[in-house]
Amino acid sequence: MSEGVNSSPNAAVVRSQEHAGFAGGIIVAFAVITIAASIYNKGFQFFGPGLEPRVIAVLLGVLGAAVMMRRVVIRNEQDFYGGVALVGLAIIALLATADLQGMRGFAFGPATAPRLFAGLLAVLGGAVAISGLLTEAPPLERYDLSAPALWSLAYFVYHFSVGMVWQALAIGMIVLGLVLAYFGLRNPERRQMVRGPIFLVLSVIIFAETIRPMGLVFATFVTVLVSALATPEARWRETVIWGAVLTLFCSLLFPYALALPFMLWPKFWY
Amino acid sequence: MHDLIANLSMGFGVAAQPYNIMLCLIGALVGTLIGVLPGIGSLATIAMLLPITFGLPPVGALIMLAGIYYGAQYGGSTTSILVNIPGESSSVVTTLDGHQMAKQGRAGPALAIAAIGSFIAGCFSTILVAALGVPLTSIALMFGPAEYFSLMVLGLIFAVVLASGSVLKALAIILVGLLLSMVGSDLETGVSRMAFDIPEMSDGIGFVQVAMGVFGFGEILRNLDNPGSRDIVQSKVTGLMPTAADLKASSGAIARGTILGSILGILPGGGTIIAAFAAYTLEKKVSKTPEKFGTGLIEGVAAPESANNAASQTSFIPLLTLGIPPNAVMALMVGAMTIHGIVPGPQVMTKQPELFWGMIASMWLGNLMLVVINLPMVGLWVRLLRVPYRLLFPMIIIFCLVGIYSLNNSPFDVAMTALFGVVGYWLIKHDFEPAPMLLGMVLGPLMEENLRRAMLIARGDASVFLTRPLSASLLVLSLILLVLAVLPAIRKRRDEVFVEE
Repeated sequence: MSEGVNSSPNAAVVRSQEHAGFAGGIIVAFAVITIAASIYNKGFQFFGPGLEPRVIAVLLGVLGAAVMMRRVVIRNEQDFYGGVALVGLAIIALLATADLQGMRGFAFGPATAPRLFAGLLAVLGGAVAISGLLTEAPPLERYDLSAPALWSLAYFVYHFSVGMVWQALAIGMIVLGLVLAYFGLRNPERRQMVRGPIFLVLSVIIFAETIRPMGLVFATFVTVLVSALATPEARWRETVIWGAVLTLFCSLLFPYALALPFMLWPKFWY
Repeated sequence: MHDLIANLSMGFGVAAQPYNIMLCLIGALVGTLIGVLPGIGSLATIAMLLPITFGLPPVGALIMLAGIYYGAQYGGSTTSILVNIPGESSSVVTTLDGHQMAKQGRAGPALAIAAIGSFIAGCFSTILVAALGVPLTSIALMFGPAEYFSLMVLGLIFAVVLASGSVLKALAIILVGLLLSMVGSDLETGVSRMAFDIPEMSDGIGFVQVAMGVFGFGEILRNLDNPGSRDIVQSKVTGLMPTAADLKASSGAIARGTILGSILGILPGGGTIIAAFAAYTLEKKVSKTPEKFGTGLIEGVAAPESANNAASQTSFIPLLTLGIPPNAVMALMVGAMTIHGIVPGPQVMTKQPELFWGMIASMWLGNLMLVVINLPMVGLWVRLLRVPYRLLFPMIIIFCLVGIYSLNNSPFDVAMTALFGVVGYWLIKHDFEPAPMLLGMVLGPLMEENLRRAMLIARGDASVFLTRPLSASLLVLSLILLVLAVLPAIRKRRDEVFVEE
C-alpha cells in the first residue's frame, strides 16, 4: 500500500518526494517477492509461461528503485501509484495462471483469457502510471490503510494455508498491523485519518472470527461496539445501549422473521 | 398491440395477487427507508436486503427486489431535498434546486413534484419495457457467440464513455473486474484458476461481497473521513400540493426528463446517475432563464427525478431481453436471479412469461404505491434523518455483515468484504470509479464463454468478429465511441456534465 501525502497545493512537488522512499521501497519489495516466487515456482527456466510476469516485475522494480532514489518526479500521484498497483495486480494474475494450460490448438485453455486480460491490464496500468508522470494533479489525499490491509490479508493466510511458516507469517502480519495501528492512533496528527479504516475492518474481521464459534448475539454486539469506535463522536453508554438494541433486533429478524439458519449462542452452550 | 395488452393483463394478474402486492409494498417501503439514509446507495441496499428474499418464490423475490430498487431511488430524492445530501448518487443534481426550494419553505411541492415526475416517468417506461420486450427478444435470438461478445464489448465501452473521469483509468478498472470474475473454476475444464488453493475461492469471488465491500464499506469510510454537518430543514413540511403554476412549469421538464432518461437507461453502461445529470443539463439548455437554475427552480427537481426513475426502469430492458446487465445494480439483479434459479436472457420471456410480465406490471404498481404511501410519510422520513451518523453506520455494517454471512453461511465471505472495503477506499482515494469494475466482473464470465465459443466455432480465426456483419458493426460502434470519448472537444463536454455546480 502506498502512502498518501499531506494536501497542500503549493508544496505539491516537494511534498511528493517525502514519501517516495517508502512507496518506492514497497514497489521494489513487491517486484523482488514476485520474481522470487516465480523462480521458486518455475525453477531457472527462463523461457515459457513464467517469463512475462518476471519481465514486467523487473521493469516495475527498476521503476520502484527510481522512485526510491527520487529520480522521477511524480506530478500526479493518484494516477502514478494507481497505475503501478494495477501493474502489480496484473503480475499476480500472470503468476497465478503460469501453471495452467494456455491455447490448445485453436481452443482456449483455462489460462488463455485470464492471461489475455492480465496482459492488457499490465499495458493499461503502465499507461496510467506514465500518465501520472506527465500530468499535473493536486497531491493525494492522505490515507493509511496498512493495518486494515494487513489484517484482512492475514485472515486468508491464517485460515487457508498449510504449514507453520505461513501461520507464523499470518500472526506476524496481525502483530505488525496492531503495532502500526497503535502508533497511528497515538499520533494526534494521524489519528483522525487512520481511525475509520482500522476500527471498521477490525470489526468485520471480528465478526468473521466470532460468528461460528460464538453465535449471532455475541458477534453482533461486539461488532457494533468495535465499529462504533470508527468515529471520534462515539459515546460509551449510547454505544452499549445501541449495540444491545441492534443485537436484539438482529436476533429476532434473521433467525425468526426470515427463518435463516443462525446459531444465537456460543457453541459450548449447546 | 393486442398481444401487448394480453401480456400486460396477465402481468397485472400476477402482480395483483395479494401476496405479490404485499411484497411489492414491503420492497418499496424498505427501499425508501434505506434510500432515505444518506451514504448508502441502491446497490448496497439491494446487496444488503438480498438475503431477505431467499425464502420467497422467484416471482415474489424479483418483485420485491425491483420494489427496493425504485423505492431507493425515490427515497434518495427525499434526502436530497430536505438535507442537501444526496441519499442516492442519482439524486445529486436534485440537491441543487430541491434543497433551495426546501429552504424557501417549498419542501412540500418539491417532494410532490419529484413523486409525480417519478410516477409519470414510471408509467411511460413501464409501457416502453413491455413494448420493447418482444422485438428485442427476437433480435437476441439472432445473436451468436461472436455477436454476444461484441455486444458486451460495446456495453463495457459505453460504461467507460459515460463514466466520469479518465477514460484510460476506466478501461483499466474494467479489466480488473474481468480478471476478478475469472477467479475460480474454469467453465469448460473445471480447472481451478487463480484461487491460491483456497477451497472457498474455487467458486469464484462473490459479486455481492465485492459490491458490499467497495460500495457499502468504501462509502462509509469516505463518510467518516468528512464528517460534514447536516443541514436538515427544520420547519414542518406543510402544503404538499404544488400550485397550478408549478405543474405548468414542470410538465415540459417531466416529459423531456422521462424520454431522455428512458433512452439513457437502455444504453449499456448508462443508468440513473448519468440520466439525472443529462436531464438537468438539457433543462438548463432549453430554459429561457438558465441563470435561475440552482436557486430553487421546480424544473430543476422535476427533470432529473423523472429521468432517473425512467432510467432505473428501462435498464431492465437489456437484462430481461438480452441477459446483459447494463449497469452495476442490474448486475446485482443477475446475481439475485441466479440464486433463484433463473437465467436472465431472452428465454425468460418465453419460458417464464408470468415472471417477466408480472415483474413489469409490478413496476407500475410499485410506482403508484410510492406516490400514494410515501408523500404522507414524509414526516417519518424527516425524523429518520435526524438519527446521527455515529449510530447509523454501525447499523448499516451489522446488517451488511449478517446479510453477507447468510448468503453461504461462510465467514470467508465476510472477510472478503473487509478486503474489498479496503480496496474500495483505495479506489476512491486514487480516483478510480468502482462501478465499471463491477460491471466487468459480472460480464466477465459471459464474455469469456462467448469469446471461447466464437473462437472454437471459427476454428481459431479471430477475424470472425469482423466478418459477421452484426458483430462487426457493434465493434466499430464501440471503437467510434472510444475515439469520441478521447477527443478533446467531446471530453470537455463530458466533464461539463459531471461538474456539480
